[in-house]
This record gives sequence, C-alpha cells and structure tokens, in this order.
Amino acid sequence: MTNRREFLQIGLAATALPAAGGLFSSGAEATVAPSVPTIPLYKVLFDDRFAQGKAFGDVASNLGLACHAMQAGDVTDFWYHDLDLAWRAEPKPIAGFTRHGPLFVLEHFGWDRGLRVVFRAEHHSLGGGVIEHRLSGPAESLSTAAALIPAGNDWVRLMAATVTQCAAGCSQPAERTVVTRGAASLPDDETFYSWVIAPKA
Amino acid sequence: MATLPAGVSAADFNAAITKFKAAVGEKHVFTSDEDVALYRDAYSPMWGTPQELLASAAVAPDTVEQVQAIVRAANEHKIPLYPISTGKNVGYGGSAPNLHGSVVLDLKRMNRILEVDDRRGFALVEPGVAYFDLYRHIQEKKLKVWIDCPDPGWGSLIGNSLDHGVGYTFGAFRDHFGSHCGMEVVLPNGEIMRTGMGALPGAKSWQDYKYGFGPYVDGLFGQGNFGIVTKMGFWLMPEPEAYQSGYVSVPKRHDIIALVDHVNYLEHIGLIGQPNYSSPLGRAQRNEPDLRALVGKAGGPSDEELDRFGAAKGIPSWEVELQFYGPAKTVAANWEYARERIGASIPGSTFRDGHSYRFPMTDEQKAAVEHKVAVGIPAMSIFSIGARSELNPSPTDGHLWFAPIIPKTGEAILESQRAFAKVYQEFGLNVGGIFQTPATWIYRAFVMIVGMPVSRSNKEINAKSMAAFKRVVEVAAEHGWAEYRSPPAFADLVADSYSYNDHALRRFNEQLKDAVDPNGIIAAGRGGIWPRHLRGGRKA
Repeated sequence: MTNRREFLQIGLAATALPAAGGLFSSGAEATVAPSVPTIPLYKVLFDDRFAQGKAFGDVASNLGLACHAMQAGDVTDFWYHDLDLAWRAEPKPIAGFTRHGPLFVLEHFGWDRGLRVVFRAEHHSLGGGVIEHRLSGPAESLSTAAALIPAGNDWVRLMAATVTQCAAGCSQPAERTVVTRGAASLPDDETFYSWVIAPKA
Repeated sequence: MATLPAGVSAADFNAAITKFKAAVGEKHVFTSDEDVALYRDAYSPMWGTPQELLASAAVAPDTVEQVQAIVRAANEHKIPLYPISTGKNVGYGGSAPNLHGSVVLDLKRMNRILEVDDRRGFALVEPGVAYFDLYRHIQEKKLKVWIDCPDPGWGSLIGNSLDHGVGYTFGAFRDHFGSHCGMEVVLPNGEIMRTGMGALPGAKSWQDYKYGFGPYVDGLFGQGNFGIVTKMGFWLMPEPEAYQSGYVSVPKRHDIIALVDHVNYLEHIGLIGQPNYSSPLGRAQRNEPDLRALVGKAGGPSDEELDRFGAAKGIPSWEVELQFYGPAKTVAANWEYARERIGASIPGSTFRDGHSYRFPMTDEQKAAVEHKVAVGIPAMSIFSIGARSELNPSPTDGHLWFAPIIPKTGEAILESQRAFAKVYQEFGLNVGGIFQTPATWIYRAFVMIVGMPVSRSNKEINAKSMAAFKRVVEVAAEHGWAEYRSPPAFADLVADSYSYNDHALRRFNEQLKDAVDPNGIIAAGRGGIWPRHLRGGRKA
C-alpha cells in the first residue's frame, strides 16, 4: 500500500549512510571560542544512527552539555518525555544535528512557544565528496564557522562547536555558503542540518 | 504590510487590527512579515509564487469571549478570518487560508482540557488541545481510556476532526468527526451556540447523545465555514486488556475480492480494528527485475501473468494485517476464527502471528511498539522517514495528498488501481500503480491515497503534480469517486466534482452561507463554499 507512511519510507533503504572513517581528528571546538555572549543550551539533540551525529554529540557532551540521542531519528520520545515538559515551564534553547524531519517538527513546536530557529546550517552532499554548507544565523558565528570549515576535515565537529557556542541576541541573521571538498563526506544527494532553536530575540 | 484582504481598505484593516489588539492584547496580534510567515503552508505547491495563499495577519485569542469580540470586529470591518486550531495539517494546507489575505484566527492558546470521563468514555476540549496533550492528561490521571490519533500526533483533536481526519484503532473511533459528541460554536454574528444536548441549559448528557432534538447541524462545521468551534466533545475507547495482530496472505490478484469481503465482515461485526492491506508482490519489485520488466511492459501485465509470476516465486499477491483488541481470551479466539473463516474460503491463504501486547504498558513497553498509533499512543515518527527517493524527490518540501474515496470492495481496488495508474503514468509520477492498496482509516470506505511531490526549488515538479492532481480528480469523478479532503489550492476543483443536479449541494451550502454569514467573514472558500461577493473568483 502506498499510504502516507509507505510513501515516506520508500527509498529510505537506499540512503543508508556509509561508515564515515577518518571523520574525527583534532578537537576543533577550541577554535571557535566566542567573543560575544552565547546562547545557553538546555539540551543538544543528535541522530546517533550516523557517524556524523555521534561526532556532533561527542563535542556537545565534551563541552558539558546535556545531550539526547534520538531513537531511529524520531523526536517523539524527546518531545513527550523531555522538551514539552521543559518548554511548558520555560522556553529554553536547544541545538541539534539531524535530518530535515526532526528539525521541521521541533521548529514548528518551537513557534508555538515563542522560539525560532536562530542558526541553521544545511549540509548537502553534491556527490564526489563535495558538500555545500548553507549557513544562516548570527554574523559572528557564521564568520568564524565559514572561515574554518573549508580548512579541515572536521566540519561536523566545527559545526557542533559553532552551534553549541552560538552568539546570542541576533535579530538579523546573516547568510553564508561554504563548500568543502574531499572532507568527511555524506551520502550523495543527502542533507543534514545543524541548528539552534532559541527564544525569539 | 505584505498583504491585504481583497476589497478591504487599509483604514478598515488597521481599525480591525486595533480592535483585535484591544480584545486579546497587543502581543497576541501578529502583523510583522516574520510572524505572519509562520502561517504559510510549508507544503504549498505554490510556495514563493504570486499564487501562494498567504495570511495578512494573525490573532490568537485565549477565551470564547475574545473570539466573540474578534468576530464582531471582523464583521464591522468585513475582514475575512481563517480559524485554525493548531495549524499542523501539513499536506492539506497547514495553517494557510483558502482566501489570500485572510486574518488567521489562531486558537492554539485555547488549550484547556475541560473534562475527561473514563466511565462514560468522553473528553471535552478546546481547539488548542493536541493529541499529545490529551494523551498526557490521561496518562497522568491514570484514566482507563485511549485516544485515537492520526499519524502524526501533534495536531488538534478539534482541528483534525473538523477536517474529517482519521486514526488507527476501531472504526467508530477512527472517524474523528463521527466520534465527536457536542460542539460549542461562535457563529458569524458573534453569538455562542451549543449543539446536541448542549442546547439544553444545564444539560447532563452533552457528550453522551449527539442529536438533541431537531435537525443535526454539527456537520455544517466540518470542512465548512459557518462558525468557529470553541469546544467539542469526543468519545474515547475503553482501554482493552490485550492486543494481537495477525497477517493473512492470499496468492492471486482476484483473491483481493474475497479477502476484502471477509475482512469487512470481521470489521463490521466488531471483531477487528483497522485492517492494513499491502502487496507482497508489489514489494518484490525491488528485488525482482523480471517482475519490474513485466510490470513495465507496454499496456501493463495481465492479472494472469502476475499470478503466474507470483506462483512461480511463491510470492502472494496480497496481505492484510488484522488487529484484535479486547479481553485476552476473546482476542485469541477472534484471531482463530478469522484464520478458519478465511482459510476455508480462499485456497492458498496463509497466516502468521503479529504483535501481541497487554495493557496497561510500561514506558519501556510503549517505546518498543512499532506502530504506536495503533494502540492509542501519539507519535511523530512519520517525520523521521522522509528520505529522498525517486518517488519523493524533494521530501523536505512536502507533498500533496490526493485522497479519493472508493467503495470498500476488492473490485473497486482493482478498478481504481488501473484507472489512476494510467493518469500517474501519463504525468510521469511514480505513485500509485497496480499494486496499490487502500488506506483503511475510514470505517465504511477505502481511500486510494497518494502523495504527489512538491518542490520549492523545482517549479516543474509542482506544475506536474498540480496538473496531475487536476486530471486525476476528473478521472475519479468519471468513475463515481471523489476526494474526501483536499489542500486549499484544490478545494474548488474537488467541490466542483460534487455536481449532482447542477451543483444542488453547493447551491444549498451557499444559501446557508449567505443567511448565516452575510459578510462572508468566516473561512471563505473552505469546503469550496464562497460568500456571495467572492463567488466570481471560484477556481473551478
């Protein structure tokens, strides 16, 4: 039956990520230490089915942040048992590295509680090891990330460091596009997102 | 300010906005581009084009009295309002209006659970209550009732019900409008009305008996625009003792006819919840190049050719998952009965056990349930599986649901597969096909639903989907089928197909609209019903 669930499922099997060997080298997080006040994160969400997600979670965890690994890319457990309760008390900033679906859901949930996506990086594989990173967010965070990402293979760790130390108080987001070649790859034609959701400035 | 409602002056619009602010407080009236953009339809096939349906502003009341004040101000200044509950109806329009420039009346702040009774089995809620909210309330209070929720579970009970939304447990509960009992409505003139027994002052059975006395008017508010529903009652399913699923496979294409008849019997007599049909032979295409070649040959394969292929490979044509709810003893007996009944009737049918659960479940047990909505647990997992594929080239940009109703028979399945496949093929859309099985949410009918792809970056995909949508609505009508639900962009097209006796139904609805809402301020265009002054702009 090609119902709504199957419609979304078909093709998933063909897009499983290969093992991402050689992703993780030096701790890039130290290089993006901010010079402006940063957004204090309540929790960091990541998709631990993928090496990139695990690397992202590692950085956040090493920075002392509370992390949540999604089960099978599904935000339900995080939403029901954690975030909904937390946001009922107070809208708190969160960050993550996910595919589009979880971000789409959490962004919409966030709108209802007065939060917005304040930093969004779309990491889209163009094939052949080329990845386009479309960044939108505080200019301070973008300029640091945009300068560092092309220089090394650790773009995932750099993004983790960037979003977990995202500049606060941005009302006019800037935009940048950066391309990496031959760095830690994504499956062809696949897209992941690094993001921060925070109360509206 | 980006958009004004057609025919409304800036002076009138601003005066209305001032009154809205006085009614709900300044911070709950949204006019900035950034805020109003949140009400765009995320899956619109017209995203970023001049045809995209956009709101002009939004206002979010917290009480029924505030809704009344907004409606009175809108009437005074002839401002079109578009009420939404939580606005999560993606694929069917989200929170975007049918009429460009409408002010969205956002009811999500009205989120009180007013009553849940697990002895009489009902809930009374406001529009902002989501399935997750009611589920949490029931769990925290340890009430012995289930909700029936759609997939995903972030939407509003009232919003989903009013759009004729559907769920996944027993037929009586899967029909979310059918399982409601009693409404409170703010009428277009600002008056409050209660329906059914609620019209009786001090009623003790508002959520027990739907009809009250006299004509039953609740249907006017489902997919309609005759008022703003501010409270609604819903019947809830008693928590069962056990759940068991079982799978039945049958070998031949035409076995679907007898299989559906048996399953209908089991469902209509109350032995099973939602049956889930699928095609093992259809799934086998992924690994069987010869089958793909057979399916792709000019004119398509005959049923006999498909039967021969299936027999040679030992792959059944059809499978159905049966879901049993109730006491453990009767669940087991009902599954045994189903096996005996179908096994004696359809040669070559085979059976296997599925999942088995006992209730109440622990959190760990709930987490392990694969299809949570089948046991009344809301989930968002549907958003975790949107991978890019040939079928859905821009999954992040959404899809249009084409959801035609067909009779609940095997013959209708086989006929509609061929009829719709021809159109999809003509437009180069890789959806549907001769192995498509129906969605079975609706108790007494099938839905041959497909999601047509939408793209924000490739306008050709949108143009193709929209052209295919238009054509397939026509083809459906030629066969006596039509959609039960539609994105706003196609509401007029779908309404136009309900044309018996020179559109007598639409003309009747329009007469009612003119009488009840002479200024046409409530949800213009919803359900294909336009106020008099806007009928010239109807799209079909």
